Amino acid sequence: MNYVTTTKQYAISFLHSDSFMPVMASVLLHAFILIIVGWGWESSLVTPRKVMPNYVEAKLVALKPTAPKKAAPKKIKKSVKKVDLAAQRHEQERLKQLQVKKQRQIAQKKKATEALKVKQLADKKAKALAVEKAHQLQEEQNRLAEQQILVEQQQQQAFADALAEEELLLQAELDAVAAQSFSGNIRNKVQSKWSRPPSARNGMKCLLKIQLIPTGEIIDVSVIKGSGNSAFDRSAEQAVKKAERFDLSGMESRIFEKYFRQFNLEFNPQDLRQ
Amino acid sequence: MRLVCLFFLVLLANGARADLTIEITQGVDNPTVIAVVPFGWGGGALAENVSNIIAQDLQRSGQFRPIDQNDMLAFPHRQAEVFYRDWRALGTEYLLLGDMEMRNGRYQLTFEVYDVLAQKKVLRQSVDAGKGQLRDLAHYASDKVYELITGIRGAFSTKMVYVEALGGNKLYRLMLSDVDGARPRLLLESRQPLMSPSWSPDGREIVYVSFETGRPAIFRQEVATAKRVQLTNFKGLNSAPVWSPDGKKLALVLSKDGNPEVYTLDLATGSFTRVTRHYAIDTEPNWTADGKGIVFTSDRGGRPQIYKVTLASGHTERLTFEGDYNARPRVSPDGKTLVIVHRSNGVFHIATQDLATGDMRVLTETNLDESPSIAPNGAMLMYATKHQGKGILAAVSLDAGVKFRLPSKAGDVREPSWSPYF
Amino acid sequence: MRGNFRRKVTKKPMAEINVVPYIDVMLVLLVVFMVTAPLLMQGVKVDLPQAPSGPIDNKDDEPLIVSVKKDGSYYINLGRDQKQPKPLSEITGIVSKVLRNKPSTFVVVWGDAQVPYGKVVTLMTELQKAGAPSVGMATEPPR
Repeated sequence: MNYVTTTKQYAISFLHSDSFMPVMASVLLHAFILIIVGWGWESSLVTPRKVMPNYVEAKLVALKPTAPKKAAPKKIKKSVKKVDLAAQRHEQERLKQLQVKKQRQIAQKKKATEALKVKQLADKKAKALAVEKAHQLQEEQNRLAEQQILVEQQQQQAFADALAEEELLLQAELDAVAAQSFSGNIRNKVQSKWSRPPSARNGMKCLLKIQLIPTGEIIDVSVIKGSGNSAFDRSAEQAVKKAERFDLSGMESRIFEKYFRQFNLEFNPQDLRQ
Repeated sequence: MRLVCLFFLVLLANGARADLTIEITQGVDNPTVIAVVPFGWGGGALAENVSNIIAQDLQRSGQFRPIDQNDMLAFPHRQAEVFYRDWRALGTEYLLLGDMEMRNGRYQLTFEVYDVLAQKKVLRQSVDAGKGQLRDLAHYASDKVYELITGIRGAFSTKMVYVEALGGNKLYRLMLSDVDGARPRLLLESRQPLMSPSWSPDGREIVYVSFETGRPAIFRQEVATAKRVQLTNFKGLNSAPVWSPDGKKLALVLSKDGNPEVYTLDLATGSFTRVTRHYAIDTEPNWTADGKGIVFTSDRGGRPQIYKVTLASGHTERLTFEGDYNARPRVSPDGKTLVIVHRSNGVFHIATQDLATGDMRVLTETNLDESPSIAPNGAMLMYATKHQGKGILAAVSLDAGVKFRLPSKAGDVREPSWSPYF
Repeated sequence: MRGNFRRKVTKKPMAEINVVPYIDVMLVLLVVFMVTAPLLMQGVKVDLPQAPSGPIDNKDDEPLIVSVKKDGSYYINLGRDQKQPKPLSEITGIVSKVLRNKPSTFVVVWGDAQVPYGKVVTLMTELQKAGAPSVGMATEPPR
């Protein structure tokens, strides 16, 4: 009882305190962030992730009695190898010792060169002072020359920009071609899975929105515009779900983001009765 | 503040980007794989295996491939017991669960359809039926599942009538049964031939030709009460009666004026109107879907071909040009397709012809296929054929071309007629 | 004079980075990953043998994975409780049912490196009898 009243009092005092607003704001902000981060996961969580294990293909084979003949010669070969191994080990140790010697020599040489360098630096400083004055004169001249170069550079830049733009356009065109071949694959796969209900007729249209992840797996299918025939719409949805994943191997992520993270499928039969 | 603005700008830019659209114009049209799990039932042995009947119904439609019950990894009865991954591993697209119980002396079936790929329930329904109606329960569920998945109304709950000849044409029976051939019921028995049964559009009555008076006469009979009335008694041919779509008239063939001609009979007034005037044989009339015209077989061109006459103007046009024999026309309920018996290379097939384009497609390859009758949903048709020298009934789907034979009967079976929806 | 001096000190620009927001963001991320990580985990824990090998390339369907633990118990990645050991007969039953309905399914043995060789061969024989023409052996790339 007592505890309850004290907590109540505390709660009331908190409500009127200055810290109430900021605390609420921060709690709401956190909740908002949690929702934003956790939102997209929902659909992918419902469908259990698939395990695509690495594997070795194996077939059961019955052994024929020809096998034992080979066993004997193999043993001899192994013992020969052992002798070789001992000799090799010996050789390797000799080489190691040689290397250690070489490294010592190199270290001594380094010390000598460093001493020389210090001397040279002192000389350079003296020379620099004398040269400075000459430099100032030259700089003035340089500035004039630079201005001229700048103008030239700007012209060049404009040309380069135009070139880059053209390149970008070319790139986009190439991307579109690549995307086309992938859409062809997707179309073939969906068509091979689509079994239409007998009530389907030419001219029925159903638009689906598909969401993919870069591995090609479908994470979401939704009907944007139905045909009015629910059996037809469901068959379209099922065709996509049956396809499960599309083969996107070799697709650059740029193309994926541009075209395939989210795309539409329009089901529009042409080979049926009117 | 600037950061927040930037964030929303990025979001906006993302949403406004024009997405790539890939067009899908073709498909493979494989049958839908469905798992019909044995239904839950607490009581003792049932007279019928309801889930089995549903699986067979769906398989016969040609649009479905039910999974063998022996291949199922689990037998769930409720959503909580459904583990989609298992069903997906089996290649299942849809899952049908059901639970049956006894309530107030009636069977109550609650069934649910799941979309395995989307991992969600797409249908839940309850239906109840009396003691002897377990098959009706099953056909009802089949209808609902079929309609949900194909977008076409199911016709498993409908009936058919057919003629069965016993003992080498010594005894004729007019029979009524489910469209899967189960639960046959005798409507009429006669020592003289019975022919050309046909349903009224409300499904309450049938008309047929009987020779019981010594010559062909057309009768009309209520299915439920077996009350019957003779409609014609003309000299010569009285044959091929067909009810008009509005139920007010019959189209029939009479030869009272010399040679067989198509007439209409106004059922309210009993007056006959002659439709065709030609010295050649005009027979086998069938109404167009709108009831404004009649298609019929005529050999006015030298060979039997299909013609169509518009009732108001009397204008006649020829519809078929392919092959030297086309007969027994039936118009599909949507009025777009003509089903005919087509002969090529001396073999009789069932074929369809698109009325708009004139394209013909042969549906069956067996010999001596005749008397096609279209289901009220236009997705299947029943026809008579010969198997091991005996007349049997077979069905084929108009789209998928899947065929199946109905269970063989004691006698020679012919002239099926598919009922309308009840 | 004194007050003046003090003010000068407080106005001095802060020299170190304020790490509190960084810690804050990190904690939020940590919470998100702690929540999602258990959901991503699945399957039976097995020490796979190490060998260079390729990933399953371009297979449409999820492979059927039969795991063998060090103690010789079998598991399969189907059913409600995948961490429940199952008798071999049940596993081959499931495999044959799946292969009958979807013959293209790929079967992978996910065996511990310590499992006796004979046990793996028995399993492979049984899987072949169940209808798997060839069986993959799951490996881990060498460290």
